[in-house]
Amino acid sequence: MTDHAQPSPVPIRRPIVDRWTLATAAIAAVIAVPIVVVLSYLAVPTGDIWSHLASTVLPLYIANTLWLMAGVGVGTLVIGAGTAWLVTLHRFPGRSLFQWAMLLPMAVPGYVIAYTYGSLMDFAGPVQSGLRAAFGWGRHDYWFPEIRSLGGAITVLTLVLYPYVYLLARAAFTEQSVCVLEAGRTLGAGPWRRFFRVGLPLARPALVAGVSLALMETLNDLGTVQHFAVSTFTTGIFRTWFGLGQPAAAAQLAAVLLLFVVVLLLLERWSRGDARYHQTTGRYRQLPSLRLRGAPAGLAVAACALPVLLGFLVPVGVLVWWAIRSEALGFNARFLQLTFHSVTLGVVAAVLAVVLSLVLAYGARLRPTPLVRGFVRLASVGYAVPGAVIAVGVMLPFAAIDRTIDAWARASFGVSTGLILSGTMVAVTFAYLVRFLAISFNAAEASLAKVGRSMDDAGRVLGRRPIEILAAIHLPLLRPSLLAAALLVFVDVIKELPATLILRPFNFDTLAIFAYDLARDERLAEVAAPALAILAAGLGPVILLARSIGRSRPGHAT
Amino acid sequence: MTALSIEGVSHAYGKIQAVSDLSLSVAPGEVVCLLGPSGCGKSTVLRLAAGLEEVQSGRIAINGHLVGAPGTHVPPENRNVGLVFQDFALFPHLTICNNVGFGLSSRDPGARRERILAALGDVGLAHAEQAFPHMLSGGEQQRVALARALAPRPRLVLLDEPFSGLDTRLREQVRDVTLEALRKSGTATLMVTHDAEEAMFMADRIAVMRTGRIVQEGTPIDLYRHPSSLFVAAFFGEINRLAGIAGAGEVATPFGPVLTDLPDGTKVEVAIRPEALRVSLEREKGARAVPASVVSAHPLGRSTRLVVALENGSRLKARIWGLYHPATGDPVMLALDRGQAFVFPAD
Repeated sequence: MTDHAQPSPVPIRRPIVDRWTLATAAIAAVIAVPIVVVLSYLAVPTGDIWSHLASTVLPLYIANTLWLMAGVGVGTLVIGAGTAWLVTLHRFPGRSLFQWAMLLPMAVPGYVIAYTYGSLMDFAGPVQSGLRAAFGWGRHDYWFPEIRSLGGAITVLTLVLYPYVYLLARAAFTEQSVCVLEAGRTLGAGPWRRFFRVGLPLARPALVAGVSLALMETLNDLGTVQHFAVSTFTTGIFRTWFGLGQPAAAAQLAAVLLLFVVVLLLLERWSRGDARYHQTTGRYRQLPSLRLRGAPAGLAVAACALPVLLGFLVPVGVLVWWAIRSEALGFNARFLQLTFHSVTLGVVAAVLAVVLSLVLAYGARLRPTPLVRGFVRLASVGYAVPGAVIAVGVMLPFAAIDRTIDAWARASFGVSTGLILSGTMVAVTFAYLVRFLAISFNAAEASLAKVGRSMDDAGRVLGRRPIEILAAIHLPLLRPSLLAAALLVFVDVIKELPATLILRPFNFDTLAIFAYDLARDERLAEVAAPALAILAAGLGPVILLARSIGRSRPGHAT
Repeated sequence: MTALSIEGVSHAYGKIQAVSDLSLSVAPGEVVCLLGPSGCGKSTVLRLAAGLEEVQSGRIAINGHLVGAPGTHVPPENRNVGLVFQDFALFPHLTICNNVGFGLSSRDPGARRERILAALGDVGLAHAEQAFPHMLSGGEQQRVALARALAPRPRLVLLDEPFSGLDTRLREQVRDVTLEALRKSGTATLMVTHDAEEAMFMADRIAVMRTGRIVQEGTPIDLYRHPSSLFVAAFFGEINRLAGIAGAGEVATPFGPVLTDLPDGTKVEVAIRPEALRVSLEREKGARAVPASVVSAHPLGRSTRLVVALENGSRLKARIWGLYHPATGDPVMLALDRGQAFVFPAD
């Protein structure tokens, strides 16, 4: 009697085209379509409209975009690296709170903080009104910075994007060799000298990576710059597409914007190495920490509290105030419908992203060939590409396909098929996958790497095929990480604005779209409900990250 | 029919040649050990036999069926071999019961459970079936890994350094259980280890590997008594090496001539095991003993390890039974058991 039916070992010829290689290749090819389409427009002549753009608005777009990047880059670097250095290597009141609280502004989308500050700081807003009332000033008695400006956009984007730098800088400082820092101390270097001569140079790769991520988000932004009337590439793409009705020229603007991204991407790849931005190290190591007392302690608390206050508490406070003040709270049937739309898009995109990521990550594990690695890298490049660019790259080919099918159907059957891909859920979901696949892929790959190879080998020897091993061994082991990955994608979809705006089905509004529309009509009080809902969703990833930071804190040795 | 036959197999990882033209066979019910230092390619042989690597040249057959040759590959899931991993590779999310049952294809729950309990019983762990791997000690995990490999009744079991993850005290006990379970199952076994004592304990036959080749094959006693090279002699325990030159069928040593059949004029090394040196405090009658002095003594419990210096200055390691505390510089007499002195050409 044998339990294990012995198949007669007949030699098997292996197929010429491997299934896993094919699967990763197929995913990479589909995901790359929008990017390739946009890049191809660099070579398409569009005549007058392009030369018109180039001679009128293009210099402005380039200048504004560069200034925005420079400002946000410096701002996030100073705040992110400075606060990370304070909380990792110093002891002062509230330090353990700040360790995770510094991340809170991450939950606030750029356009939401722009709406709140725009209203808070303008002439009729509470700040200026309060000043006038307090000092009896008239309209022309004082100077006040204009929030709806390049400077304003830089400020609010910095306030919500510095956590990218903070996260990576914190991980880098935590991982830095204790000995190196202590050696600096024994050699007589003071705290400032240690920061500038030892800490910062060692953390440089992480800082560069963090700033490039913040800048990618800056390039992606539409809501903030549009609300503050700063013309950049993203607003330009919209104006050209919707205002001028020139898709080809919009695609060319998108292609130029892509060149900015390529520079950032190279910078980030070059500096990041194997570090990942969604995970901090889980292990705790005793770091030499300097106790601060008196005035330095007060300054440290202020330096950490200010970004959290301005980047999270103030906008949340304003939204809550709006919500309370407005008579109809806005949480009505319409709101429920918007939430349902947002959640549907988020769930569909998250599930698809996790499934595709798993295929990519497992394919790369089974076939670690340069070819498969290349496909995987190509499939996860979209995180750097602004949503507006992806939207243009999705819209153009989908519309062409729809026209072709429609024409063929009419010619053959005399019926019109209408829109099948463009302007449907397919298009917008596809754009989300292109943009957010990297997030879930990184999580899947990282957690898969933690499962020893001998697990796979053991499964094979015990009679299971690779696909069965994925189901019986890897899926149960990866479930928590995959859920976390799905949550990250879900939240990013809820927050996403530019791609949704271009690609959503007609009259299919989401929370983000609704907030954007209301803000454009200056009905700011009504923004509160959708904005608070988006913000609440955004707290999910912050909690995930805060938990992993909590595990790496003293007293939580794992 | 042989359970496993490996014929002229070579294997390279990129530019690194791991296995070179290796042939080995395991008979049904036989336990064969591949013994060698780390990096000698022994684990690669195991992976080739399991089907986890594809054969690049040569051929591998299991029970007379070709399973691996260039361009031909039976995947591991179709080979019906058991493999016990160095790190045990138990599935952390499954109970012991489900771990052991993982390789069983029978869908009848009754038969399945019966087989699982029998396999666990053979390794003395029937009580642990509902536990999870992390709840067991290292030794118990190793036994579960063995039960999991044996449960589908494979015709060939492969063990990859199965005891190296255990501390020395556990090792002996787990070794006994493992050997007993293997004998009971009657399966052919190929085990890989770098520990000569372990190989001698487990194996019916040992194949010593060095840089991808088998350098000597035989029973444990054969290899210990008649090593074919300095490498094999050294691998089975500490040796003293004395340089010399062959002449007239002999090599001169401080203990007198030792026989050799190497041609005259060959530079040779004489390998002497520590236990082949008889140490005494007084001159023995009739024995050909030479004077020496104690350099250091380390009592180890059952025996004492000595380093002694001959009058010509050369130092030798010796081992004597019992505890013994000579002072440095104490005179002793050394005699050689010629049956345990081996002459090899110098490298």
